[in-house]
Amino acid sequence: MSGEVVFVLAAAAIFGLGVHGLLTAGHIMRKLLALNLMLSAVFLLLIVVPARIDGLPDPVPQALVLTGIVIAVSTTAFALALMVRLFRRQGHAAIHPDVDPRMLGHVTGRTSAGPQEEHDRGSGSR
Amino acid sequence: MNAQIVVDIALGLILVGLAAQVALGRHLFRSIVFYVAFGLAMAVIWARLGAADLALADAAIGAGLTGALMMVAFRRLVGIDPEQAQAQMTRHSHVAVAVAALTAGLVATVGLAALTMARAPESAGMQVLARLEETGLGNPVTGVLLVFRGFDTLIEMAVLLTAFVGSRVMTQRSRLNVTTISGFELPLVRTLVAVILPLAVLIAMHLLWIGADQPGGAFQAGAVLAGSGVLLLLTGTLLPAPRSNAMARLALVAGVAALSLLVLVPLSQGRPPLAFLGKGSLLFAEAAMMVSVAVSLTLLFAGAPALKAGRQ
Repeated sequence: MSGEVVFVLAAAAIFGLGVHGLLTAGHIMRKLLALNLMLSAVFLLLIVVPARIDGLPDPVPQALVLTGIVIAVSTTAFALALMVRLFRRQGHAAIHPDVDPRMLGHVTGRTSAGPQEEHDRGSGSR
Repeated sequence: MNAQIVVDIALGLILVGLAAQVALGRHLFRSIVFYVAFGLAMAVIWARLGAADLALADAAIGAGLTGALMMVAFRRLVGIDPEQAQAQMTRHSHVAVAVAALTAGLVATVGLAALTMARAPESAGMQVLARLEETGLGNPVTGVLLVFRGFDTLIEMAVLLTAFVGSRVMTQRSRLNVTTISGFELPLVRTLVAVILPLAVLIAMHLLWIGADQPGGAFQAGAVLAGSGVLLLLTGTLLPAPRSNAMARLALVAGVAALSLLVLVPLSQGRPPLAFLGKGSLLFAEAAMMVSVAVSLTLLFAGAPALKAGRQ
């Protein structure tokens, strides 16, 4: 068993953990953590699987992964901003795919545009 | 069984163990902390694999900044509704376990099959190394990023800018509070900042300067600077400003603008876009990218369009 086999198996396990987290998590931030785990697993595979050149990893996948790391932090930051906005609006950080979002206000006993949201709009406009 | 494989197995087990803590941990904040540890373990594995550029980037961005962004977002949720922010909301499902196991098996099968396959002798990496001498660069990763696949990097900077603009649209202007470390007035914290900050700037400039020939470059340098920005925000030395200004906007678009110049200048000389212009042009583009990466990530952490000087 070589080091590459170890890292491929580790990447597979991390990807599986990410999939499990993505499927079971209700909290959006947990889903984001799980997605980031899956990303790391893919990055690991991208570096481990290609043939090494002179004992070092292939530079092309290295550059791809470097790009991927920056894209991952950008999209995570954007997703977190979306999550904070959603949390402010609906009062919790879960996605309910089975529930019509327009109904959520009635279910949780508050309207979709609660007093907080109104306040934000008021102070947000110039 | 030699020592190398023992180290590899230990590293793999640590990484999987940390990932399990992130994915299965009960408390969200604990998961975020473990994610930071996971990023650091990932950086160690990159170093073990010989991918020093990735080790630097993952230590600064994957572990440091992603963790900081998650923590500040969590802090904002707690500020709105502490109970709901930490709500468990995890559904236990046997189907999810089965699907996850199946996916892991699939990834392992594909990965192991790819390992046993004969690799093509003329890979893209070989061609990069063969042609690297023409550019005079010593670091093949920088060569790929800026010479051979420059368009990827241009679009990457555009994604960073778009993500920043999108986050600005989503963040309400009335919420400009970054929590500072309580007790930052303590002499110890000020001394710590006074020691760490010049070192961080020095490391960033070093990474930028050597990036052409050795591991390092714009992203790693920008991430180190963004880490310093986060530190300054946390200690209240810099504060979020409510209105954007020309400097902040210039810094945000610098990377896209510099790479666009690298595309357009050769075109005006009748050469193909992104034709290699020499090492000076690369350093110029990398410096601009470093500024954009640093400012975008710091402002994303601050959740503000610009920064202003805070308490001295």
